[in-house]
Amino acid sequence: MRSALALVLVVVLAALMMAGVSQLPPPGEADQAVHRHVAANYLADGVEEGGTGNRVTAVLLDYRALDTYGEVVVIFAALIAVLLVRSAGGPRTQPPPRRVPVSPVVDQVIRLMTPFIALFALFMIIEGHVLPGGGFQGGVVLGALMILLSLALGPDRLRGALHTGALFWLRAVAPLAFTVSALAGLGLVGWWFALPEPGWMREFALVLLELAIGFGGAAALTGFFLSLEEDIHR
Amino acid sequence: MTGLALTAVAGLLIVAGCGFFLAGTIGLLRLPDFYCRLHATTKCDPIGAVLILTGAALLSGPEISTIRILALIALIVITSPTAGHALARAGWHAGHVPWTREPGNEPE
Amino acid sequence: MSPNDVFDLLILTLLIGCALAIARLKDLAAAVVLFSIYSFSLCLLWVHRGAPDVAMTEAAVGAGITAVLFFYALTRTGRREK
Repeated sequence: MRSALALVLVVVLAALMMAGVSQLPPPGEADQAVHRHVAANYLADGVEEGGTGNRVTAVLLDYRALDTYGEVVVIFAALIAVLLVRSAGGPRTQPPPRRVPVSPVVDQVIRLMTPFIALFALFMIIEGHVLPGGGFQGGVVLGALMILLSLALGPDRLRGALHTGALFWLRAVAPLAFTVSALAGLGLVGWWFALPEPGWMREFALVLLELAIGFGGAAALTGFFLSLEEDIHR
Repeated sequence: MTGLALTAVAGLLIVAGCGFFLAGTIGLLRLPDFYCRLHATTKCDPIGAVLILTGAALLSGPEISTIRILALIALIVITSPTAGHALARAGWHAGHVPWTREPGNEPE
Repeated sequence: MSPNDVFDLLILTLLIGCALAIARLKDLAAAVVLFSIYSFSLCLLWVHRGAPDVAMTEAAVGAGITAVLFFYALTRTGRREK
């Protein structure tokens, strides 16, 4: 009965999606409306209007800043959900996993690689408005580095090394920065998420936004991991 | 070295690297237990990757990307054996007994 | 069919195979590993299609972080699907 219901549901959904897809313009045709107006505008004016040579960044942080705002808020909401749910679980079904002492080889290699990984993450965040990459990617690499350090050195030493008060606020920095950007654009230029006028100011604002996304994302991931860790070894 | 010889050497290196990858994959599929499979993959994968990357570096010539390829080689040489070591250690701590030919010690 | 299309088709076949295997597997740890493979294949496809930004996100988020978080979640819930 349930599988029949699932089959009907899948067939109906598939039919709807097929109907939608069949209405799309054929891919790769340059003279469709979407390519003639919006995309062509982005390609022609993206460098001047977005304040950067990377048009992907121009779309992410300027033209479609509202969408990026939504993404940032979703990550923040997920973090809040994890923090709310983690202590609400019932009696545990699994025994807590045994901690294996970290091997000295792994410890040394992680110590060796940490500065390089951190440098790479920062490079991705700061240069993200010019090169491929950006706040999201660099932030995830930074968060992965934090998880690596927590696995190697132990979560308690990581917690001790991180300023927990700063971490608390860093988790919210990306939505906050986007809110400030939206309001500042409305107040100073006249529309939501508008970037300030001279070119160097635009670039500065982009770097600030990327930094906020990067560090906010890294703090959110570190928060996910540390709360999961705490929950498992409670 | 002339261009043709350089290309030939690079091609040989890449083919040799693919051979190592093939051997490692066959070992992963065919060997009896965790440690043997780990042995096959953690030996063959780094050397295969290093050979292929060296070939690619030879092909790309004196460019900025060659330096990136060399950095990648250094990264693989450092991290790949470490990952193998960590996996074997985790397996040992999880209670995997190495396979032997004695009866009563069949692979899982 | 150009070599580029052949490459894309190979990757897409691998993706579909991985997705089916993930759906069918009862061993959730193996499913997480397969999910990493799926993400790396998708990452290759993005690079090949000229979208390095998306490829970087896919490699970092899909193949890196989610696998770690899934493994940690598995230690709380158990490895076998019931």
